Amino acid sequence: MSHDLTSDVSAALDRVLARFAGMVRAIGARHRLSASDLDEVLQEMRIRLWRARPTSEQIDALPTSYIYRTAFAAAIDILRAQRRGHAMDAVALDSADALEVESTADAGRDVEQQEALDRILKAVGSLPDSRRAVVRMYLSGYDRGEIAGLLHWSEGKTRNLLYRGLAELRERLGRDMVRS
Amino acid sequence: MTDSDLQRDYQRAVELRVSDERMRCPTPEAIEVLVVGSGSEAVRLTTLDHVMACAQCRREFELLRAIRAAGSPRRAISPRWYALAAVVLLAVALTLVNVNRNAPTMRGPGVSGDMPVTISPIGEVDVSTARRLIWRAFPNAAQYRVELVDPAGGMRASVSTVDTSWSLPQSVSIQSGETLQWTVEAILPDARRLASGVTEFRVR
Repeated sequence: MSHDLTSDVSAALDRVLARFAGMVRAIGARHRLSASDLDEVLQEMRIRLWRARPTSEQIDALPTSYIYRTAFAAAIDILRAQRRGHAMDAVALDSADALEVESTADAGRDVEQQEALDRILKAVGSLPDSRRAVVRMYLSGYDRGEIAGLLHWSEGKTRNLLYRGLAELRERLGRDMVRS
Repeated sequence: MTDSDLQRDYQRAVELRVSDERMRCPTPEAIEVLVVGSGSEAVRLTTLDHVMACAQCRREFELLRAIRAAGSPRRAISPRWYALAAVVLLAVALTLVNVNRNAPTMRGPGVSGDMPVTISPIGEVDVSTARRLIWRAFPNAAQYRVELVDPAGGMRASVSTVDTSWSLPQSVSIQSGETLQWTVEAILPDARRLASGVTEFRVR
């Protein structure tokens, strides 16, 4: 009997988590949402949902808002743990190796290309405070609607700051090119 | 450089940037505040500025943002959205067929440095000139999105069109002494959007 109940609970959790994961992946796909990060959140959610609602009927009846609040809290806790503990050290070690590989690759990379990339970082970094974050977010691949939604700005304000910021960035890059 | 070029180069530059500054990264709680939209705007902008310049923070931000966006009732992707998206794609495709029937041979897409070019109105103009917006045809554009705004960013009028000019409807008011701005965005068949810079004009 307990084996059947566990199978039912597991199946219910699978259903709930599959729906949730599908939705998040669809939204995060454009911005390269990390699959491994999401998988870690799913694992943690499975545990938390099962502890809170130990039967399949209770799991199937969970409100959507509860599921997403659980996911958000799980994600924050995972990120805290990554920053704080052993997982962070492992990531830092991997990152350091990766950075070392990149640094070595830098030596072989086209110098001109590297200078071009450095120029764009410097030019963006020199933009006025009011426009810099918005331009960075746009250059990172987010559209105006996503920027306005995140900052709770009107479409007009977002458009204005973004267009002026991009115009200024192009002007600065043009000046830098002339100098170099 | 087109917007796509800038985005590609910027993202590459951030990924390759060597950084040992994780200690200076905002905490997960600060990224949470940014995603949730609580607290002061100044603090959130500072956090955003860092997040969008740091590959690791951006990864964390995107995880939280995607979860929150998926759970928001306003932003949840419903099957109806997919149906609407299919209708829009079909409309764009039909427009493209119509444009290609009549259009002269055009250059291919992706020519470096190209962006839509506004022609008129620019600078100081009379009212009649101000009421007719004209821009250069952009290669392979399926349609254009034109926006007329006041300097504070308030939308005065907008249109989606396959033409390269737009006469403002009578319902759109333009007064002498006003300064206005406009942009034109070329929408390509692959849904990429390339925007002109902001063009300002003053009505005599």
